[in-house]
Amino acid sequence: MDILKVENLSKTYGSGENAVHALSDVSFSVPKGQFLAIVGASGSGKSTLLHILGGVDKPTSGKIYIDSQDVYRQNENQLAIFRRRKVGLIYQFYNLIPVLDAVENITLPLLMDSRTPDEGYLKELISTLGLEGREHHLPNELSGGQQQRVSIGRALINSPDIVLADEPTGNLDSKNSREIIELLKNANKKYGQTLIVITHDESIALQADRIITISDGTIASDNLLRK
Amino acid sequence: MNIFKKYTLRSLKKNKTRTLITIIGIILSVSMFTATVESFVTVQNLLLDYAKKNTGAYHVSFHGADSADADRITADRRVTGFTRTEDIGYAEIGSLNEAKPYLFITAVPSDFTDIGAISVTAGRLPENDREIIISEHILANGGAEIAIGDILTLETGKRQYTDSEDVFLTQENSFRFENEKLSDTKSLTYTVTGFCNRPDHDFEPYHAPGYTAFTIKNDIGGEGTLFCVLQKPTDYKSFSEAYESDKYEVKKNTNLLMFSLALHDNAFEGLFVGLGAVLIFIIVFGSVALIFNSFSISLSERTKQYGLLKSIGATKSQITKSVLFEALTLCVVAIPAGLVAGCIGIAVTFKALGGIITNLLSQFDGLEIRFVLSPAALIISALLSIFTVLLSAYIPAKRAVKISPVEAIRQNRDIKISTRNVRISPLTQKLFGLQGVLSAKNFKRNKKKYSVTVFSLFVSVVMFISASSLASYFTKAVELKADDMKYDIAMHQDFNGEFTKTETDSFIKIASSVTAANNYTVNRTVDKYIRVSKTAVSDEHIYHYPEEDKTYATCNINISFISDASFREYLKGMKLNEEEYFNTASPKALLWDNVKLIKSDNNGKQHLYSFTVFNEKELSKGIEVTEITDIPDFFLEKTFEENGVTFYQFRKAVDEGEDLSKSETKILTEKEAVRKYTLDIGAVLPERPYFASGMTNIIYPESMMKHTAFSEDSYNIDAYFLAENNKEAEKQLRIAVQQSGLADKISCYNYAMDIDTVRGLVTIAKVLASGFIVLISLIAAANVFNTISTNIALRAREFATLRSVGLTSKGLNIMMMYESLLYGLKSLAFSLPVSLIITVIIYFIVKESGYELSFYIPLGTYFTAVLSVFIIVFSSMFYSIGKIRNTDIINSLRTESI
Repeated sequence: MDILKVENLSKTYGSGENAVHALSDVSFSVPKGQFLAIVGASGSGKSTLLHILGGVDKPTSGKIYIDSQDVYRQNENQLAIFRRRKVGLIYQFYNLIPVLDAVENITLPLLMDSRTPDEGYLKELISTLGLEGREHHLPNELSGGQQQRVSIGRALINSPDIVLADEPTGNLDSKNSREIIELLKNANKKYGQTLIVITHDESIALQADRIITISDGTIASDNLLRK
Repeated sequence: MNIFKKYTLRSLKKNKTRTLITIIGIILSVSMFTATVESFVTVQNLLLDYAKKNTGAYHVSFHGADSADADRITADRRVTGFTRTEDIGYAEIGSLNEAKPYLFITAVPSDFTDIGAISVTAGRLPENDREIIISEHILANGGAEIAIGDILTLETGKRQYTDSEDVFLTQENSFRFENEKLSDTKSLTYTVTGFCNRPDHDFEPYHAPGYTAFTIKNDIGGEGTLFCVLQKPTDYKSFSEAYESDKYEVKKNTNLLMFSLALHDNAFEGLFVGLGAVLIFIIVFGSVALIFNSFSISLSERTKQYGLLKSIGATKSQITKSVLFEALTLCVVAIPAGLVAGCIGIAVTFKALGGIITNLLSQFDGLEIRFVLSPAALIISALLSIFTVLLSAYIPAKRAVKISPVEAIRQNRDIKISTRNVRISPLTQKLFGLQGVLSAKNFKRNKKKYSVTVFSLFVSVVMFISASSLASYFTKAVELKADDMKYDIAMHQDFNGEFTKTETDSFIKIASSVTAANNYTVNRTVDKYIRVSKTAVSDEHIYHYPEEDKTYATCNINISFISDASFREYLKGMKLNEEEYFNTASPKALLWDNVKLIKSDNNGKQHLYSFTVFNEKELSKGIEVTEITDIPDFFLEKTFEENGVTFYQFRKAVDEGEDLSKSETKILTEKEAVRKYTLDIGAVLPERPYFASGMTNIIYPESMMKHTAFSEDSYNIDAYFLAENNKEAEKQLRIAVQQSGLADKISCYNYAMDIDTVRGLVTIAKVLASGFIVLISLIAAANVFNTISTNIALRAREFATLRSVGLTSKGLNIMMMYESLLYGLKSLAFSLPVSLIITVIIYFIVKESGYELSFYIPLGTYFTAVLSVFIIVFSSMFYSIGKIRNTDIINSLRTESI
């Protein structure tokens, strides 16, 4: 069953002579539980695609269905709740809230829902992320790798349908990079979450089930590596 | 605690400087609100005290009400207090005022003055029913000769029409002359214990036939006046209407109700409330500017975080509430501090100024300006402050909510640079190098960002210079006037004609009775026009009065005869031999030679000129004077010769429209028309004598009057007093004038009090304006610091990049210096011309108010403003860059300004 369906997605910035077509008529589907890598040169439209999938940027035209729901038919409030519960976004530069500690950053989507986290799940997640002993540290007291783990924890806490990661290892050394990718893959396997990762790193891309190559805003190739 | 509240509180704690500045801004704003509202409450209380002192503390009065009426009315629960009078009756008092022949005696309880008003001007209040205090206007107005201690036996009765036994006349009914009589008379004896101010016209109407006198009676009954105090002054109308009756007259205490703001629809309330509203508006405007800017900055720094929160799933409502929570949290901290600071500030100010304020007007004698802590005022101030803060936070909150998550992540909005080509002056490159070019380009491409700072500085400079200029001009004007006035109090003859010998003696006696004066002189003066040779007058006199068609110069001078004692003091001061001046054969005179002339030029512009009449070099020869006879109502039309004899033809002046050629003429011979004599001037006074006016004075001792050429002239008589305690001196003078019977022929004027009043007002205005301006300036300074430091912080990465490619510390300093200069010069380029225009307007306002002074620029003020602008800007920039300078380049490059 396709958890994600993208139909004729386009995104244009600017207008007239200065118009930049970041995405042109992109269509694809992603079955539930798949690990999809999106690759492409700088400026090809990968991040734009990811942001639109994550509900943080609006398409110029086209439709996106997540779990059969037309994402952009929702109003602002519904979209916010969608972002909270249905997707988990991981950025290259971690993007943590500086004044909240690691646990607070991780549980942020839950807290926005005025829900308290399940202690058992939280403990397990922290353990999986290798953040024991760092729960109450602020982001500036954590290393880059630890910050990215916190960011992953935040993306996973609500057990979203899809996890979207934009160059999650772009700012990390090779050791941390490997560990992060392992974490993501484990979550993908363990929790059955669909994982879409943008990466420049061939070695990471080759670990995915499927690689989509974006070039000049369109899908250049779509290769299934594993079923 | 909700995660958003946690986030907000921690963000505030993290950015201590920014938070502190915002809190300080709110405290300043709250203080100003509090000070303004409390000032109004305090001034209102002073006015209420004044009203209570002069007209009483009651709200509604019933004139002609008896005991039954009083019991019925005072039972009303709206009445919180009352007092009554009992009409004793009328007694003829031998008044010279035909329409006011009576003394109207009314009895009051001993505690009457708790609610009623009897303002004692001399002596004391009566203590029993054999003593009486009388309205003092019986002396001047009625011409009665009554003194404190006199025992009066009065045939006291009721007023009735001569032809009716049923109707009794009251103070509301004017004197009926032959149509009224006093009935039911009984003989009552009183000792006069004092005099008081005339009661309010509600109690003693202008047409009332009796001068009010008060005696004491503790069991008030019968008919009289009931004075009621109401719980709520605004109830006065419904209360009055509820107890209307034909039996008595219902009146209201207008002053008290007006100052209680219960009257509505009157000029005072309009002014009072209007002025308050204007001040509040100005404070709101200034405060919103700062607090809005603080919030804008604070939120723009956290734009990315809000975008991130939105990307994680925060709704608009959650973000808005977070911002408003931040606003209210700051209020919780700042408002109590601001309320306290405002109360202390204004209490101290009133303590310092209180004496000046109540001294300004004699009506406030005996009153004290007391700072009143009003809970209502504090609540109003707090609410105004909360309103201001929420208003300030509203737009930044809306902005934070509008930001799209992806824009925030990319921080597009905050570094929206215009793509246009900007041209930089070669001079910038030459003076400041590449650093200057970078800063200039930054400035030109981010105009909106910097305009807030420039605007804040502009407003502050303009307000500072305007207020200081106003204070400077008024102070100078007042001092000029003070210098001009060489005496404190003057008493003038105030009718056309001459005093008789008896009246002159009385006048002199009055002057000598003013014991509170340190010094005085009684002068006889006459203004004259004399003709002298053109060589005898100064060049300036000829310039202003050319008289080209004449062979002589006409001079307007004043001849003054002062007391011998005063004259001798001048001689002593100048070490002159008195023989020459007391020589009966030909006494010499002292000369004060200065004329002040206001003349318009061809463009209608007025100028003040000051010059001498006489040519000093010619004085020693004596001034040959030709004087033409002054015939009242006639003017010299022409001279003509007939058979070798010169005649002078005078013509009677006519009213406008009448035919001058048909008016009466008088022809006199030279001997009849012309008088020639020599003015012997002994010495020129170096300083203006205190009695001298704005004319040239020729001064003789009084005893020499008969021996001068002026013995036959008609003189005015004036007395001039120097008195440190000018109020007491004036009081003594006025009583003496009243008691002399010459009240209608004499006028008195207290110039010193005028000057004191204006000086006092200027001082108050200066203090209050200074306080206001200091606070507004602090707000502006905080605003500027806030904006500049944030702009620098947001450019941390830019500076780090520059440092990474080799920009030295010196280079950074040059950039900061250039930007500081830009800020400073830009703001001054707008604010100084505008301030100059306002200074010119102020000059004309002061001139129009009647103060003669020439235009000047208060350079000290301008210099202070310019210096302050650069100090604030430079210190803000260098403080901010100092923080960045010390961070590692790579950390700055990595760290988002989050």
